[in-house]
Amino acid sequence: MSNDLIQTNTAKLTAAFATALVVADTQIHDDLAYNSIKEWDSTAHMLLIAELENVFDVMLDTDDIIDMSSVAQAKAILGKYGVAF
Amino acid sequence: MKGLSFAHRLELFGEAIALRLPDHSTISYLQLAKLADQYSGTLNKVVPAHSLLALRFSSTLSAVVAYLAALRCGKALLLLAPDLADSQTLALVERLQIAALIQSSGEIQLTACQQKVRSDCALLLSTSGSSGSPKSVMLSLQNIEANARAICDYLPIESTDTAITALPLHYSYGLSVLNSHLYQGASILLTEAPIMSKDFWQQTRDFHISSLQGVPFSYQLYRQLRLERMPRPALRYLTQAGGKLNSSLTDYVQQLSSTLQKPVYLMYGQTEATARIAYLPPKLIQQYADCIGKAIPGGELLLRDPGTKNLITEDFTEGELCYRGPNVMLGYASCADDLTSTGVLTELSTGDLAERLPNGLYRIVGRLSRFLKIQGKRLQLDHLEQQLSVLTDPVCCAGTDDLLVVAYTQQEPALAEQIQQLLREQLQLHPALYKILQLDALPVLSNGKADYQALLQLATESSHAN
Repeated sequence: MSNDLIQTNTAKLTAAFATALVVADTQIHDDLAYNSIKEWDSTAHMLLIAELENVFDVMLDTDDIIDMSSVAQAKAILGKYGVAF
Repeated sequence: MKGLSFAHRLELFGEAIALRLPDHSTISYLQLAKLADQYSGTLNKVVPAHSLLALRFSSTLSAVVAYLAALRCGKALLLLAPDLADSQTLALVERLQIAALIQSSGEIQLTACQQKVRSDCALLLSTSGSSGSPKSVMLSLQNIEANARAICDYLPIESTDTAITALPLHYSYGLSVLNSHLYQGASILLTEAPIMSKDFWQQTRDFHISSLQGVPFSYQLYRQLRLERMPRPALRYLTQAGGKLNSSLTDYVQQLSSTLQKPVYLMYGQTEATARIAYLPPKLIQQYADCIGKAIPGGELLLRDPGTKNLITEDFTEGELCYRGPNVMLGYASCADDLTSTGVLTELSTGDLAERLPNGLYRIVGRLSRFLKIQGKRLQLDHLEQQLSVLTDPVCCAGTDDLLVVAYTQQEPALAEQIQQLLREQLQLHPALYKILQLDALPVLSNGKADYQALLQLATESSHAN
């Protein structure tokens, strides 16, 4: 996997989080977790999943949707669908 | 059955399990009655008689005990969102002269206020979910008991069932799930896990949850989680209320019902009627999902001409939907004086426009009053305009249950951001749920009144352009 692709994917992921959570890019880091900031509530989570499925062209399993409890976790889960970080 | 309400009859179910907790511990009906009576003892000791209490109603044992204790010992109780901001809580304490604030933990904080409450008022619920609206609905013990009984008549709740707190308990729909299960001697799992979490779905499996509830927004989540693919053999039926489903969600719910081979009850209600008013028998869901159905047992729906208030008897004729039944509230309380009112409402005007089909089913066709129901929360547009006019004037709000539209004319670059902040902080609205427009002029009708339809049109056009 090329570094370029990884960088692109990371940028896409950050953008998806920033859009769904309506926070600045700089607030998106690996440790950011579901329900840890008021912006990441059920509504935002739903929009986040839609955004990630759209951006990376994947269809997430139910277990993966409810498992996606942090940015790091999102990367790990997307990894299973062939998206490298 | 004897007793004033289900809260007074807990003992009758003896060792049956009333409450289940996420750590798998259980509370029997007998234990729950004892816990409630101990707490009543404390309330009777520290709180002035006939005064108003407020409870931060989280889905926890201590909060449920406080709720049942207040019902059992006849203390009027206002239910608050557990996370209601302190400033909004204080404003309510002041406005309604609340004598004591009960935290979710059961801790009691006395205030300096003391206001007598009419003796038939047992419970006060906010009309708009979590926004801490000063307008509350006053309910009697008979209201709560009658609605729980009616729900048990038309929903297939069995004493062996376990429900889950998929909705907040301070919200009339969420509360009705607790009440109806306690009425029937069934049990309910008290969880604070959000429905978009792993914990919640693990609990629905581990605790053999028998029913799921949801407002339209919940069904959006269920759709995204692909609920139809989740193996949940214990799940017997689903219910939906808290606003009309849009057409794509209606399609989903119909598919869900046929895929799972489980009934979905589409229901209609208002906090003013304790919770439930009407339901669609689930076998009609494929053909009549656009209808609210028929009145719940013991209730009656009628249509009135909005102008003359005359009864409409013809089919397919639009009128204001009105409801009569033992669950119609005593009245509203917006200030402390209202708490001592003496009137009793016999007929509720819902503010919705509806028509009756020849088969007796009712269908909502519009709305008389200006409010939206976004994510199950009622949003009064005129009230919102007042709030926003502090930032900019003139300002105009319109919308659908999926999208709020705010329009203003002032050319001030920072305004959109300020409006967004207000919508976010005071109403917890995600930007996907509203659209803010800066216009040269607000659309008006020939009579000079705001043209909400035109505004809505502008908003839809601008989103297509994006």
